[in-house]
Amino acid sequence: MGDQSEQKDEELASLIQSGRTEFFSILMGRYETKILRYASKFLYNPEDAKDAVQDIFTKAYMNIKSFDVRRKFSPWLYRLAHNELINLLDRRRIRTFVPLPDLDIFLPNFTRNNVAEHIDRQEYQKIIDACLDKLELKYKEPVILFYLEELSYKEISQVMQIPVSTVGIRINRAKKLMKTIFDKQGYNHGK
Amino acid sequence: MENNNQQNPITQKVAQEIEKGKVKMKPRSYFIFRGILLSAGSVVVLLFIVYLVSFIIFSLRTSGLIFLPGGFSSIGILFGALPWLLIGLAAFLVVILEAFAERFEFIHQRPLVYSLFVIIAVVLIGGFLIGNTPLHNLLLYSEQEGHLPFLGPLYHSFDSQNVHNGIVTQIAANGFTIQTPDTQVFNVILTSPTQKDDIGVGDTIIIVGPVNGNNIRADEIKKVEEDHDLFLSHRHPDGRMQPENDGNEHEIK
Repeated sequence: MGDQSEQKDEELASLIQSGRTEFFSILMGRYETKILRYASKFLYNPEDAKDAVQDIFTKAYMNIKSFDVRRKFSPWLYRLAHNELINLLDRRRIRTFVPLPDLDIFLPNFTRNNVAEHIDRQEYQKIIDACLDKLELKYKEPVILFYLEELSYKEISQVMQIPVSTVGIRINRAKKLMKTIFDKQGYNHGK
Repeated sequence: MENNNQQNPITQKVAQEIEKGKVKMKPRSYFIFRGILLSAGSVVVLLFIVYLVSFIIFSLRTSGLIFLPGGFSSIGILFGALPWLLIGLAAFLVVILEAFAERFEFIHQRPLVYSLFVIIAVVLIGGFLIGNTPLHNLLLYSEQEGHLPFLGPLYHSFDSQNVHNGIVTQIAANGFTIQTPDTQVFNVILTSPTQKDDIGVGDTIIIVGPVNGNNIRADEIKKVEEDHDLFLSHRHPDGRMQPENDGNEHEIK
């Protein structure tokens, strides 16, 4: 088992699919901290977050054969986590679920949001910690996935099942909202 | 299973559950079957919407509404006589189909308006094409012969209650007599003498108004262009008309 740590997630997933289930704990071990951090942004009680992650990993094992090994593993796992957490919030009525699509997924966005993708990630990571909880879930989640989990716009689009352009719109809006909140709280964000 | 994750208690817990056999991997066939079911379901819903739209077009043509001349009064007649229930059902199914379609990555990665536009275009074009084939004509004929158990009620009740059409067979002082495409004869009672000014025997007309026995009170009358074959929808593909009525003509009272 000497080379397992160097094997790609997708290679491990392929081995698990072929029956080498012993590799599952290695694969999940790589994501436990990340998924726990992601879940903690939805569920404020640490025990609830741990229970949710256990459910997410259990579902990941059950559904691993639905993963296409030619694609990246992390968006697939985050998608599973997204579904599980949203269902959990709905069950607890923490999220007021309105099954109507938001207007920003309807229309194409012609602005080039990706320009800002790698420019101010670090700066926003500081702001995020101070303001994240004050954002609506639809803005909060892409911000977490982009700035904290470091997923690309396309991967976030796969996780949240929304158009890539909408990811950009939501992140831009979230940034503006966070700056306003940040300024109101009296911080200086260095701009 | 390896227990090399001392720092990962959740992973260990899940690994133990897997080892004990409490958690099982779903087979690949399960996901393939689910994918097929979703695709097949989407196709069935799409075909049903196309069918509904084609039926709406057929019913508009059969009632003559589609041939109404322009003008505000025609718009009013058309608006009041449209099969809103069927239109609402088709719109609802389009939303359901869009929800199905959003499960496919190549669709949800693009703005919703694109997929919605494609679905609506496919449904309208498909509906228009099928609406112009003899399909509904054959189904209507089957319904009238009692051979259409499931879709029968749809064909039995699609006529707009207050919209009628037919050919003028006789002119009288207070109205005229028409023969409908299914060979029924009605007396049209005018509400204003000017309503029959440009109407003569042999004209195809659309009348809006309530029916009382064999009389129709004509709240609105519109003459249909001669080149529109209003009777086409009621004609069997072999050229015969629909089943005959009792054949009695009725005097205008």
